[in-house]
Parts: sequence; structure tokens; C-alpha cells
Amino acid sequence: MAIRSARSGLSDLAGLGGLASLASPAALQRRAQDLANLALDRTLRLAVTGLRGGGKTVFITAITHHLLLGRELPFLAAVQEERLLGAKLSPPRPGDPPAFPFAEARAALAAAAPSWPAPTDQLSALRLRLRFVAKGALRRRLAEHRTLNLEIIDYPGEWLLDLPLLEQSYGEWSAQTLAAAERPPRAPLAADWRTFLAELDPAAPADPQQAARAAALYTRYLERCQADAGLSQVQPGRFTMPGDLAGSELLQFCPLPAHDPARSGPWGARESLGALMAARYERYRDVVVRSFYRDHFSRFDRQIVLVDVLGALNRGRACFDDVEATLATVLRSFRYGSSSLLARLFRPRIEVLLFAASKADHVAPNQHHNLRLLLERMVSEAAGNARFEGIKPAFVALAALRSTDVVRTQHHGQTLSCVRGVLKGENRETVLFPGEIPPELPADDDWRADRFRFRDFAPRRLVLQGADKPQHIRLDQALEVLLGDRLR
Amino acid sequence: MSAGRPVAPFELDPRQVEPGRIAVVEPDATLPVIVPEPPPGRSPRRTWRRLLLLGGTGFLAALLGLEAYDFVTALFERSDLLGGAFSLLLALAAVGALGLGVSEIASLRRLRALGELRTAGAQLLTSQVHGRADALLDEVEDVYRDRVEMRAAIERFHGHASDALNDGERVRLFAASVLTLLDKRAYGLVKAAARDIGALTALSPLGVLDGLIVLGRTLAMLRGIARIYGVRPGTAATTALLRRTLRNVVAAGVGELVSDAAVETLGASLLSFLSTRAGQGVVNGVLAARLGLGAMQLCRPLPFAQDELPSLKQLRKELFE
Repeated sequence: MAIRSARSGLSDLAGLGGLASLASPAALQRRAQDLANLALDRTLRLAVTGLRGGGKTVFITAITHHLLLGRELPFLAAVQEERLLGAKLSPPRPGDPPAFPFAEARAALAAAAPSWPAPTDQLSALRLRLRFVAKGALRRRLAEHRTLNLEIIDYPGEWLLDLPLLEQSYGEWSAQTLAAAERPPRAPLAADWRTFLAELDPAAPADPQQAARAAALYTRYLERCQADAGLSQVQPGRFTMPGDLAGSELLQFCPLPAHDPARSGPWGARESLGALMAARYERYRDVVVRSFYRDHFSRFDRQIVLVDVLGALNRGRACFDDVEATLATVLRSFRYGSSSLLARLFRPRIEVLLFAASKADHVAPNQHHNLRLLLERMVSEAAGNARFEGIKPAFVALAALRSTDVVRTQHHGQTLSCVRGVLKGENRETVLFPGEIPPELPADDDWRADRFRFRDFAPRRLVLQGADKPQHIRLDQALEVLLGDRLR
Repeated sequence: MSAGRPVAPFELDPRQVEPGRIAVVEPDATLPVIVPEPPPGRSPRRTWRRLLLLGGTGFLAALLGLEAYDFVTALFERSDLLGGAFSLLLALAAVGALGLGVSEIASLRRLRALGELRTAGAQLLTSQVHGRADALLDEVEDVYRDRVEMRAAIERFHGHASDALNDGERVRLFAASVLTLLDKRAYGLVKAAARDIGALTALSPLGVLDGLIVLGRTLAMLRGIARIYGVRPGTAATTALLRRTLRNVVAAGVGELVSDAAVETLGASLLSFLSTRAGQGVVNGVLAARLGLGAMQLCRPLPFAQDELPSLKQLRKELFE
């Protein structure tokens, strides 16, 4: 992690708002309480990380639902040993992001015609208090009932892509983005924007109209990358998912080709278009991205990375490689390693890292093993970094809300395991042999047209009480990896 | 999976598929190969010993039978009534001996059957494929089907075992939701026995008495553990269990045991200053605990997963606090 901490420290000091909030007694008390909770191991900040469409919102909804009920989680030791007393949602404290709309999200999944949640477009936080009986006579003697505050934030996956910007100057970012836009599959999508750029002189005096037009074309290009080509590497993330910044001047910039540096700096004179764009990029980076990172992303204890492996396979080789590269870049922004007590208070690191292939119910269970192996290959760089820091990453294939059954069929004398469910967007039940997943990164001839055609299923209605069969796959095992040791 | 070209995805008419979910999938060649427990070596010594045992017992039995026959015929010559009464008694004794023998053999067989289940379970514990665990778990379930107190746990297991779980997960889930009940009870038994043995050795005035107390209590503990896990313990089964447990404990290293007990417990406590007998009590208690935990591993129909293995350290802490 090489975020310039000195600089973020400075901006901390410079932020008068921060000083003012420190001065108020309520805020001071809250901070003290936070520290005490952290010191006593009572708080666990879980990073639910995933690109757009990775299944973050469904995952958060499902774990909250099952933890609130305290059932259907046989692999979570605290539940199996009947030590989990209960869970409760805490209201957000003043100054927190808005509360995660848990009730709405659960209601949408439990409705008569359930639907997957719409893409998340704003930041929200969830705080869950878990009460449990300590394990072991000695611990019980210290305190019989313990509390763990689980803190999770939900956010648009696009915003994750901003994290790498923290380490790039405008020049570096421009060069990288422009180079990528010249190569397929991006080149045809970028045609309009690049023709406009070709007529633009970065050294010319700045014209806000021109900047807005360039930004609009660039945004259009990013949207097409995402929607038409299914690419994940679309920076900056707020362009495609602006949240509360929609229409703001902060978003009116785009990469520009480097100007001849011999003449008055890389971006021309102070009032030039290039200088304006560079200034806006820096403001975006320092105001929007850095505060997002500092407030929400620098203080995690545990992390789950949700990857939609099937979706990546579906979209073909270019997208698969793109997802692989994006994950590697994004995960470089997190700090891994075991933290001592002091470090946990002031500079926490992620000490448990779990990679999860989501939507495992979309293939037959005998493919889960391969799915997990393929995930291991896909994230090998990030996993390697974590191992280097002494963290042993775990891998799992899971489904937060199981939407299919398994059926067995005979096909040309072979017995095949198929899945049965309702296809997304088509209101009919079907039985599907989804195909096989290679345990290795796909080779050239694996990318044949008919090899990977995984279909999306519509959610099966979430039964709130008394479900007759498990409604998830390995969600409890994921929870055991992520929180099991803190519920002892 | 299948050799050659992978099967391309396709869709079926749901009406053609027979109802009822089946999770069995063609067995996979990727099953991790685990070397099974080697069969007990058939050394020539063993054969000779068997021969000796067989011949000796046969000879003694024949001798006894012959003597009894002579005795009874002699009695018949004296009086029919006397002869009849004595032959009735003899018949009763013979039936009793036969019954005892059969039950001993049955309990030995049970112990061996649990051992075989455990070996199979160890292979499945890390397996990632589907379809083999159910048969094994059914067999394990059969052992406990009659027990009222386990019914709820077994039902809960069936509720949780979805068809998406692979063999290893199924075995672990069964152990965690069903066998833990037994583990807890066996653990309590071991703890009580270790505590008794520790206290009694410390209090007993005679060295000889120590030995008897330890032996008697240890055997009772082993029988109790076997009973909890579903082996009706006869003398032969208990002896076999004791022998295997001792072998296991010795294999694990007695040196460690002594240092464990002496350094960590005695060094840290005042007991050593109080009396050497108390020290012996502690050592005996820890030894019994160790035997008990070993016996638990040998009686359990599924192996303990790495992190559920009951630890001596934990038990010692609970014992001597």
C-alpha cells in the first residue's frame, strides 16, 4: 500500500470540519467509544469488495437475514454450538453514511415475484450487533455474554476503480487510458471521443463548454464499454455511477494526449485546457476519491472479494482478462497483514482475506470445485500479495441466495448434472446443463463460441421463516472464515 | 470429467425430468488418494502365537469337557437324579460361555466396524466430489438410530445437508451437528475420570492401592467412552481398546507427556511443594486424560477434523484450575 499517507495526514489537519467535529463533546465521546470497542475486539469491519454485478448487495442482505434469524448457518460454529444469542441492526450514528436499505432489499427478495436488487448507486452502511456466549470456561468467566459489532458498507462497484487513481498523476492516467482506448475491444467504442480529442488542442485557452463536451463524450465511451462490451476497467468510477455528484463540475474532465513538454509544462500554460483538466482530475482524486478511501476503505479488518466468474467467462476472453487485471489493480489498494493491537487502533490491516466465486448455484454442484480452482487462478496476483504479507487467503464458491435445484439427466449415455430454475427475464422454469468450468485459465480453444454460455437465473423467493431446505450455498462457511474466530 | 471434448451447454424441457432431486454424480477420478491404514502386519510370530493360542485353548477346553463328561457319567452311574442335575448345570454353564463368547466377538466386531468407517471417513473428509458420503453417513447413522436423544440432531443434519455440499462438507457437517453431542459427553467422562484418578492417587496411603485405583477407573472410563460411541464393551473389546490406546499414546511420545505434565502443571502450581503424592496424582490424572482422549479418537465412527480434536492442553487447564 503506497498511498501517500503524509499527504492524507496533511489534508486531515487542514480539514477544519474535522477539527470542529473533534471539538464537539458528542463526537469526542463517540471516537473514544470507537477506540475502546476496537481495543476490546468488539468491532469488526468487513470489506465486501466486488466489481459491478459481483453480488455485493445480495450477499450483504443474505448474511444479515440469516444472522438475524440465527438459523440455516450450520457451518458457523457459533450457530452450530448454539452460542449465538441473537443479532440486531443498529441505527446509523450521526455522521455515518445512510443506513443500508436492508428491509427493502429483503422484501424485494421475499416478494411473491422476487427480483434481484437494482445496481447500487450510493454509499450505505450496515451495523449489526451480534450477541453470543463465549466459548470455553475461562472466557466465559471473564464475560459470559459478548457483543460483536459487525460493520459493512455497500457501495457501487464502479467506485472501487477509483482507488488506483490515488497513485496516479493526471499525465500517467491519461497516457494509460488513451493507450487502452486505442486497442480492441475498446477502440471502436472510443471512436467518437477520440475524433473529438484529435481536434482539441490541450494548450489552447480553456473553454468550459469544450471541457464539458469532451467529458460527456468520454462518459458515453465509458458507458458503452460497460454496457456493450461488458468491460470492468472504467475509470473514473463516478462517471458511470455519479451518485450525489451527478452534474457536478468535478466530473468534467477526461484524459488528454500529453502535450509537447518542451513548451511551458506538460499541459501548456496555466489557463490552457490541459491545465484545467489536470486541475479537475487532481481535485477529483484528492477530494472525492481520497475522502472515500480515507473514510471507508482504509480501516478494514477482514475482506471478502466477490467475483462473478461465470459472467466473466460468458463475456469472452477480452472481458475475462479485463476482470482479472481490474481485480489485481483494485486489490493493490488494500493493506494486508496481521495487525497488532496498536496497529488495529490506528492503522488496521486486513488479516483475513476470502475470495468467493458468487452465483455458484448457476452451475451444478460438481462444478464448484473447478469454479473455485479457476477463481484461484484468476486472482493469483492479489492472493500472492496477501501471502507475501503473511495472510493465507481462502477461496470458496458460494451462492448467497440459491435459486436452482439439481437434477440428473441422461444425455447420449452420459449422466449429467443439470440445474433447474427460472431464467432471468423469462418467466418460465427450465432445466439447463450449464456446461463445464475449466479448472485452469481457459486456453485458446476453450473460447469457442458454444463453450461458455452460462445463463442468469431469476432469484427464488426467499422464505423468511421455516424454509424446508437451505437457501444458500456455503454462505455459512464464508461467514465462519470471516467472523468465526471473533465469535468465540 | 468426461474425456475429450467438454459437453456444450444445452437446455431441456423441465417436464421430461423425473421429479426428486438427485445429487449423485459420476464418481470422479480427481478424488485425492489417501493411503488407507495399513492392515496389521501378518508376521510369522503372530501366526505362531495364534497357533499356540488356538491349540492351548482347544486342548484345555477338550480336557475340561472330557473331565466334565467323565464326572457326569460317573454321577449317572451313582444316581440318575444327581447326574441329571449336574448335567443341567453343565449345560447352563456351556450356554452362558457361548453367549458370552458371541457377545465378546460382536463387540469386537463393532469396534472394528467403527474403525473401518473412520478410515473411509478420513478419505472423504477432504474430498471435493459428490456422491460417496451418503452411504457412509447412513451407516454411521445406523449406529445411533435407536437413540432418542440423537434423533433431533440427526434430523437437523438432514435439514441442513443440501445437495450442493460435497462429500467432505457433508462428513464435516455430520460430525459437527451429530457427533459433537457424543464428543461432549465423552469429554465430560474423561474429565471426571482424570479428576477422580488424580484426587484418589493423591489421597491413597498405599502405593499398591494407587495401581488398582488407576487401573479400575481407567477401564471404567474406557468402557464408558465405548458405550457412548455405540460399542457395547465386553472384556475383550475393552482390552483391545486399552491396548490400542496405550500403543497410540506411547507412539505420541511419553517424553512429551512427562514434560507436559511436570513442567507446565507442577512448575506453575504450588502442588509440587505440598507433596510428591499430589504430584503423582497430577501425573496420573493427566495420563488418564490422555488415554481417554486417545480412546475417543479410536471409538468415534468419523475422524476428528483438525480443529475439532479435543486437546489435552485444554483439558489440563480445566482440570487443574
